[in-house]
Amino acid sequence: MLENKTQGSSIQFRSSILARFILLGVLPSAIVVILLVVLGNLRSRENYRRDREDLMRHTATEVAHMVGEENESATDLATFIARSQESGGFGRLTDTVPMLKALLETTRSITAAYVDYLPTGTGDAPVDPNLPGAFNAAGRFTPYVFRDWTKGNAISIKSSIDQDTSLWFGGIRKEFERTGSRSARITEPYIYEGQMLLEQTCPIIVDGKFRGVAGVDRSLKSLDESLRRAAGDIGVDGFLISSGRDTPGFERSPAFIAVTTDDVDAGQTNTAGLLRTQIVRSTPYADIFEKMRTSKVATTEYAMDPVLRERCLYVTIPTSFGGWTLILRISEAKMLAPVWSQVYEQSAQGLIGLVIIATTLVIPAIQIKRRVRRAVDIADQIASGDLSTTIAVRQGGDETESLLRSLNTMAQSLQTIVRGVKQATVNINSTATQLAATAREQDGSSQSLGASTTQIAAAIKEISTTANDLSQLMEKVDECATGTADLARDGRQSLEGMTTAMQSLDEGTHLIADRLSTISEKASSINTIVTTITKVADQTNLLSVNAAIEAEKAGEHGVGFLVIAREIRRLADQTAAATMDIEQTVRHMQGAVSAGVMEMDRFSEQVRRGVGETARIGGQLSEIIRQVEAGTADFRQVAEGMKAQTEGAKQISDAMGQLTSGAREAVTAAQETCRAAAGLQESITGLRSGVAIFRVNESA
Amino acid sequence: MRVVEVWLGQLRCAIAVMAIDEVLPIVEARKLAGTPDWIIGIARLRGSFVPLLDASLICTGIPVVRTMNARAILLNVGAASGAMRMALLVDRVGGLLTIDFDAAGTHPGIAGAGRGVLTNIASDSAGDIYLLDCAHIVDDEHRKLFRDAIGCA
Repeated sequence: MLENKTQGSSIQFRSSILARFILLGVLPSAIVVILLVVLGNLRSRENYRRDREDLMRHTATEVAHMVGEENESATDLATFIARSQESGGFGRLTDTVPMLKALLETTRSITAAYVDYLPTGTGDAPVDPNLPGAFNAAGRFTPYVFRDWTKGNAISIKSSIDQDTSLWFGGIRKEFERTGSRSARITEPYIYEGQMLLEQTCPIIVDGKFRGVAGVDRSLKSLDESLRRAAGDIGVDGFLISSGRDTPGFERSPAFIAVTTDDVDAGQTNTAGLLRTQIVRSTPYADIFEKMRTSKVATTEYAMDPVLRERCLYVTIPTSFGGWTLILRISEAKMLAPVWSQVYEQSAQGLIGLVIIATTLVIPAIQIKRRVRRAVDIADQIASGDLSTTIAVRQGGDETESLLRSLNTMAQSLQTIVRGVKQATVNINSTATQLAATAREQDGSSQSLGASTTQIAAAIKEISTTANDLSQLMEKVDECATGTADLARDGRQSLEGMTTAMQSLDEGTHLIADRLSTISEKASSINTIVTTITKVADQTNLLSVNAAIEAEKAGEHGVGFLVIAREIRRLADQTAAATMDIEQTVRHMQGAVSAGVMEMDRFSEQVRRGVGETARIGGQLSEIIRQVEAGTADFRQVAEGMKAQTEGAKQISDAMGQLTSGAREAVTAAQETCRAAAGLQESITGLRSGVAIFRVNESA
Repeated sequence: MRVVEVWLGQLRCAIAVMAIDEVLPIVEARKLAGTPDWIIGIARLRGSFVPLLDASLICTGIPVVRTMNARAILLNVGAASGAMRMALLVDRVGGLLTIDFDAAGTHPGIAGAGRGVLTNIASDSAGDIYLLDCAHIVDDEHRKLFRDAIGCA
């Protein structure tokens, strides 16, 4: 018992209920919450990244399509002018210039329209003074109709310059002579009168010979604004790069057509240093953009930006017409910046949830641990026989508090029972001692009675033998009769004392029987309690089996709880075993009580029989005394009544024989009473040793 | 294999843990007319009607003695005709064990015993133990009978 108590009070923390709640409840919950937060953040980050990539691809596709359409439209205008010249318009100078003006007036997307003949291209037409500005100083027909931004975009005309050294004329002519191509093409951008320009130019071929070019100009301002607007809407940088077609001796390419950032050299005021005036290979973007623009389809990739010096996302897409490449760029850190606020918010929510889970699990665990510890302590004390301890438990509550109340009730009931048994054993012991003393006294009295009756019998015999010589022995007879009367009085007094003792013995026997009946009732109450405890242990055993099955189904997460279920079941088994011990002890106690009751019944019967016999002997003795006294009074008349005396002596002899037999029976009854008292004391000793292991609160 | 040890009289058997929903105290059931003795009847468990079978009568021919240790094991077993819940009445429930029935295999001596539900036998320190195959305790005919009875209940 002492070992159990030591084990119950020295449970290590890692084996405690609190540790198991933390290990199986708080820790898995924490891991799950952290995993949910981390995975949620990663998923949000990747979703946001995909959304941004999709948005950039969508925007890039729209911008590339818009630029391609503008390129195609401008190129179609240049082709239209060239084909109209080839279809009869060539040499009709007065019709050509108005047509160019009309085209410029109706098409807002172009900034100039022109034709430019070879020096011999005018044929026989002379210089027309009505077309001012349409001829250069050498009389060559080079009308350049444009929007003059210095005059509020009024349409003006002047002659073109640098034909032979520029791509739009010299390059086109050289390419036609080299390849025979009659297609219009878009030149690389260049600065003309303060504006970045592109030219869509087409050769004029008449009779298979190159006669000049026709074309339209576009300002890159609108393209630049469109790109800035589209890129600005989604917060990215945009780069529009030309086709990169080299025409030896005329242009260098590819070049930036439009950009939304001029961060090549920050703070530079000279436009010559701006990015959009550079060819790509002369900028830090040479390596990365040259590689990206080789793709013929839309691509998305991450790379280290040579200017920003950080990892950026690039979306590259070729335009639908013109062979240009559009590149959208955004810093990865800038792109994912909005995600971090969401990460912080989810992390804070996860932390708060973790704290709530830990609190809601640990507080009940601590309460259960305290109550189970208190239940174990009081169970250890009850197991060691100490029933004097009680626990303060409030009303209501959960199963643990109900368990504590049941333990309290059990301890109090056991305490009451043991206290009653102890008190009863003391009373019985006292009664048994008195009974033994009375029996010994009765034995002595009975033996004295036997001796007295023997003497009386001898005297009567002597009277009988000397009856014939009465006259001579009258004085001796008188003395003998007197002595006989005295002895009979003594015998009657002894019998009265024995009767009184017998009655006391009978009352004590009834008292002992009542006490033993009380003990038997208390033992029945213990059996009821033991049955209740057995039912609780059985239910606990059932619960532990179900808990073990559920833990088994939970797989890895249920391993710890499986151990708990096994421990609960072990406790239930121990409770059942302890209950069986109590039941066995009570059964032994009931057996001892039953044996005591049987002994007491037998003893009571013997006492009653002794009392009856004593009463009967007392009556006979009284009769003898009366007759002896009557005989003494009549001794003076003995002579006359000799026959009557002889008859009376005979009657006395018979009565004394009966008295002797009654005395022997009284001795036998007294000896049996002694043996019964000894058996009763032995039973009480066994009962006291049985209940001695219980310690109760004597003050209660 | 993780199993729950059960006793059918003196016969030591095992039921797979994953087939068990719950272990309950002994319950009363309503007898179905015209059914064999091993079908105790239809019992109401946790708000549902389930058939209650005497596992001891099936496997040993001796009915379960209704002592305080007797238990009703609520099972959820599957078959070709669909999953079904039923309860087995056993004499006593032991603990959870790990038994390698695959290593021991079947034994010709128990073929067909207990309506064919005792499929495997193995041994451990406590002696021989038989695997009780819950999925084949009742055939399709009885399943239909149970479903009809539960539907009417």
